[in-house]
Amino acid sequence: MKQLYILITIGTIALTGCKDDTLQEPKAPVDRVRLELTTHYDGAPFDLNTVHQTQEGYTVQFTKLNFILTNLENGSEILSDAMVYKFENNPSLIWEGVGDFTKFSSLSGNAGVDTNENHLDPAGLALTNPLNIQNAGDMHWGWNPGYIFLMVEGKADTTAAQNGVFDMNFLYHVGKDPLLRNFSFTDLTWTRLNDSLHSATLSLDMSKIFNGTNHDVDIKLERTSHTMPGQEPLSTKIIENFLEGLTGQ
Amino acid sequence: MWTKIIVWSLFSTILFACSKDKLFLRETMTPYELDIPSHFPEMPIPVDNPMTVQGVALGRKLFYDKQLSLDNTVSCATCHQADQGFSDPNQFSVGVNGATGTRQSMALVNLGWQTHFFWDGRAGTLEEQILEPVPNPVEMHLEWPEAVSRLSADPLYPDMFYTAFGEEGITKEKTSKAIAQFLRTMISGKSKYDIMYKVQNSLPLTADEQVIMNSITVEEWAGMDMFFSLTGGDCLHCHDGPLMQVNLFSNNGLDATFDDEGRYLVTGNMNDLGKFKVPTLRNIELTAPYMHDGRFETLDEVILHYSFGITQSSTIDPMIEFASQGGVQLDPQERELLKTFLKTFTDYEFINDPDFRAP
Repeated sequence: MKQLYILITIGTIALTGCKDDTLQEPKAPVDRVRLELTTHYDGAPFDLNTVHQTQEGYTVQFTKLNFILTNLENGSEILSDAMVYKFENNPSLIWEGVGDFTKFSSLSGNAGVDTNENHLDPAGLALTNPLNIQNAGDMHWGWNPGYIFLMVEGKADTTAAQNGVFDMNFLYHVGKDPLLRNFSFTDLTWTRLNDSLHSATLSLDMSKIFNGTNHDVDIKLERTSHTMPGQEPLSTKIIENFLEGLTGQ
Repeated sequence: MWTKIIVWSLFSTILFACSKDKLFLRETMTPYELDIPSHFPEMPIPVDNPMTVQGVALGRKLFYDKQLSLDNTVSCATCHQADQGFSDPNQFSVGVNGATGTRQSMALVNLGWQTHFFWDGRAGTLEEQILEPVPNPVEMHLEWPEAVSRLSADPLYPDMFYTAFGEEGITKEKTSKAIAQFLRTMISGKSKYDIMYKVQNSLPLTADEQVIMNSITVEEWAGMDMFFSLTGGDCLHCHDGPLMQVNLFSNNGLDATFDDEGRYLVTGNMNDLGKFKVPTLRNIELTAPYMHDGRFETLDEVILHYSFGITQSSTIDPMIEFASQGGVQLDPQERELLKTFLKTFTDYEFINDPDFRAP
């Protein structure tokens, strides 16, 4: 009799119990990689609060640094289609996602968005796509001009007295198809963070924005560009100086 | 003998069938299909607060319910009035016992796409934001335990919460989730501007939209050009795209020093002094007064501010490029065109939608 009760009880549990607690095989962790960024100003620590000197002796403070990298790959191995970096959101993280670090000792890609994607409906992209308008936000001008590839903003004291009072703002919004530039890094060093996560770090020297090998930018004379007609030369300087400052580690 | 077996079988079934009834209830919950305009991005919905017809209906009732205030005089809708674009015509909203705050009530529209809430962005989710006004002494001034107690004693709410969440019990979190569901349905994307946006981007128009398109005036198109021109209104940096805003904080040149420190109060970062959330311009014609402190009563005053009234300060937004000369220097005709365009953001279908009115 007792056995019958036990049998009924077990049968009832088996028949009516929830499926939510079905045992599942433990899944193997997915390999992930993280692309990090160390930002400095000619070797000095960089933040949106720090002040620096340009080659002309101006005191500057940056207030915004955003950029878009796309088509990151190593030959036929694709790491990510798009990354949107915003310093104010997370200064040290460019992107994190699924990937096998062993395949990316070298990395190439674009600073900006190529013409095929630059003029797509930014609202029509998947919500998980960094280029969706919900994620890109202020990095998108409109369908025709497309995305802002690089956004650098700040304020400067360009007076002779250099009394620490910022007398002007600078603003460089670089975009449009002809300003797309590519880059490549070799011998990237990947560091193990845990069993399934590795990171590589890029370095960005913000002093190069004004003081590149080929392009000098004098804030006093060249304080703004939206890459409008007539402003392309300054935007070209800015994005090429930016890429000179961006290096692998 | 058989009686005992039957009784034991029934007992076991009741004992171990745990949440079968809950599963059944969840199956009867009806997913809410959002009516998202084709030119809008997908709306991110929190995984722990899926949209249901029952949840939205509950949220709508709660939104208009004055029981959620200490003396039963204030509801969410008191400070977010439909005819005012779900904002408040008062410079500062009047709460329980006549208390007033220091910031203007923000318009409720397209909240599902926002990433920060309140003028200083101190809430990161809509659900989090909704928890604040009820106990706030200058708003509804009712502690949540008392609010929950009132709702639990109500003849309708316990069943409504049960059908909305599939389980017994009322909590402040469920209350917030239900209101958030309702607010996410409040989507505005059928204004004249939406037609203009589609035309500019070569998106197809429906027959109804084509009729509206034909009614758009030369002045409205010229105002649009003025709005987006870098040498005109220069408004596009902060107000762009289908949502007519970007999710960021800005000091738009209102003051040299800051009585209200804005975003700084949240981040403690000196660079955020005097910065406030950039609001959407949708239905801006209806949502006066303007700015975080409601200092401007009319759109004319706002446009004059950006034309000649910009004040320099340590954190002024670099995107206000003409700050050094006081603003963008629009002449009276240009200002009028700009105002004409701003009125194309009014979405009458949204404002008059009976689903957003008191149940």
